Amino acid sequence: MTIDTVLEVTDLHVAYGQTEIVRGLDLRIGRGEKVGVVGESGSGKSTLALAVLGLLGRGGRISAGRVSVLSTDIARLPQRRLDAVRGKDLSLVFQDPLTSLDPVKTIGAQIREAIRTHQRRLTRSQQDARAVELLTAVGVAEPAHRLGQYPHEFSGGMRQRVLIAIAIANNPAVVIADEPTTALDVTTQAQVMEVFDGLVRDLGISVVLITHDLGVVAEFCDRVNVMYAGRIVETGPTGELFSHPAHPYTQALLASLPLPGRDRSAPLRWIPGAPPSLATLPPGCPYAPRCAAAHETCRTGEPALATVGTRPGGHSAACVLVDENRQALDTEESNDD
Amino acid sequence: MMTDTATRPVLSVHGLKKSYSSRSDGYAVLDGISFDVHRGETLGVVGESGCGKSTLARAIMRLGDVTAGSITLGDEELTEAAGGRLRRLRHRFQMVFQDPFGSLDPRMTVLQLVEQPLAVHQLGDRTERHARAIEILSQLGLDESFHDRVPSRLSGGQRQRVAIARALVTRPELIVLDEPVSALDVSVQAQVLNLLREEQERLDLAYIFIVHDLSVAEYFCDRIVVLYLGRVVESGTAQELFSNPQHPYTVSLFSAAPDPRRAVSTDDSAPGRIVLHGEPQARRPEQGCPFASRCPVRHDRPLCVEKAPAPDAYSVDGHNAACHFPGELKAAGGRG
Repeated sequence: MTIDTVLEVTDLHVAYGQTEIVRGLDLRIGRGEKVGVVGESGSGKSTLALAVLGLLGRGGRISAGRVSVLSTDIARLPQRRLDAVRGKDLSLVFQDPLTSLDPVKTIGAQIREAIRTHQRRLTRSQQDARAVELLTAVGVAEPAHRLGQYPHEFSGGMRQRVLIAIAIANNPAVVIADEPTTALDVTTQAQVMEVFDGLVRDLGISVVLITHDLGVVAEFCDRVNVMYAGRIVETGPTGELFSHPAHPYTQALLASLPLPGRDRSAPLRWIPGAPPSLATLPPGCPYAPRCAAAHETCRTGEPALATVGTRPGGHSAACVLVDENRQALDTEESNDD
Repeated sequence: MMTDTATRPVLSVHGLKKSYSSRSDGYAVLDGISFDVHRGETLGVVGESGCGKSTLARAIMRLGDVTAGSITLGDEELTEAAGGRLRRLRHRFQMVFQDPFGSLDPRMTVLQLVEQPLAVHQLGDRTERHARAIEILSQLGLDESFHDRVPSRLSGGQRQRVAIARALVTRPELIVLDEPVSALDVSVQAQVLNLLREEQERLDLAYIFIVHDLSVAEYFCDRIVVLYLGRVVESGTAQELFSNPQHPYTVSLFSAAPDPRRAVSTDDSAPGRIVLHGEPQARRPEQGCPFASRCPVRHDRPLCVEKAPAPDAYSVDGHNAACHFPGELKAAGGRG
């Protein structure tokens, strides 16, 4: 792990009982990087977030693999040492800003609590000064006045800003945001995504954005990871992945979007069937039963991520077609020589 | 799908006003809403939360009373209908809700759920109801193997298809669709949108589509009304509105929608993002344009704070905008 890697997930497996929800996943986040994890419901993207934060809860466990935050493997850390990392080097912003805040405590009390947990020596006035600084950083007007208010006095977008302020209270290296704008209007969503942009630009924080919204990912992220059935099936730089999707699943997802300017009279493409149950995965590629391009090989072995094309940037996809295309490409190139 | 304007609209809303206050001068959540919906047409209703979209849907469905104005279905005045007369009219206008998990009785089977509206409206006898329910389910791609399942054994997309079957089964003229695909994954969303459009073409149905996803609105709707704090600020065909928006609120709202194409475009011709500052206030101001306090192009013009613009302050070929200075704000050309 280089010095510029702030979060590295290596061959992560997460299981609830006998069922594996995350099945061998690698993810590397560089300093100041904006990385997206997209997937539909049941793809395992939220489980990934919970596992990385050590919040799996009863029944869930990391069955194999490493989660390194600034070179510390936190997957096997005892609770007390984990508490020293969580909220400090690594923190989280949830989807629902209403249930994530305590309704009977002022915003100020909740921000001070986050500061105190990791910076015990600060006096009350130092904590207040820091809270004002944090609210200013996330674009809350009249911060000193608003510290004394309760969550119900804040709008949805403002509550989400408060949660971001709490998440960055201890200068974390990475913020994981799980569907942070799903409950918000597009106008408010645009404002909140600007706040995240500011964290990266001004504070050098890395952001992992977990979402189902391909549009938000397209605009915000440097890199995208597409999840299906507990694994990353395609990863690459955002522009590259959206302009040249290689995995049939990514292609189908993009084709199903009612993009502006799309022919209104043509029906939308959709993916037949449903994602497989992780308890009874079919042999071979988990997408094969729904894949228009599937053939016999797809039903025997599950493909690993393979490099797509010849351009650098780490675009790869887990599909036998990519592997075949690549072999064809290699042959072509050697013929050229 | 364009309709002959000479034919009578399926639904006509005129001067609709709704207040939750019991005082006669109470704040109106909807203030002077007017539009028509024709056969085979989809009217989209867009706007931020708090703009009155859901209140409008409830008012049209006659869930509660309206304060003033008229809602006319064919030749029936819905605002005056009540009791038995209203109940007898209800099979002609139906609704599909956003949440396919909360809107279906968890103890009933798929077939029972779809037969129920027919029984409630006393349409047909038991055999006819049974046959009709099976017919509509098969049209929506739910074969026999689904008939005896309960909602918990269905996926989100399948549940929403059952909800649509319940709305279609009474052969309504109008369906109010309140965010019917926003709880669904994109691949399933596409399937449900296709089904809704197929049924609309087959049955010449009118839809009122409450939607916050603007790309879905552009793809699916024929005409669109944009609501802001309980008033229509702009209306027109979807094509005209998206290519040539006039009201600064519409321009800002459309520019805020995340667009997957921005990942790919490298030139500056892609529409820029206008980030509105602040959020809608809870109420319209006493006077002036309701959008004035957030408007990116107002430049403190006295007219905007003193006088509310008429709904048709801009009016060209059925495209209306309630703005004193229409067309000034443009999204194209860099980030505002």
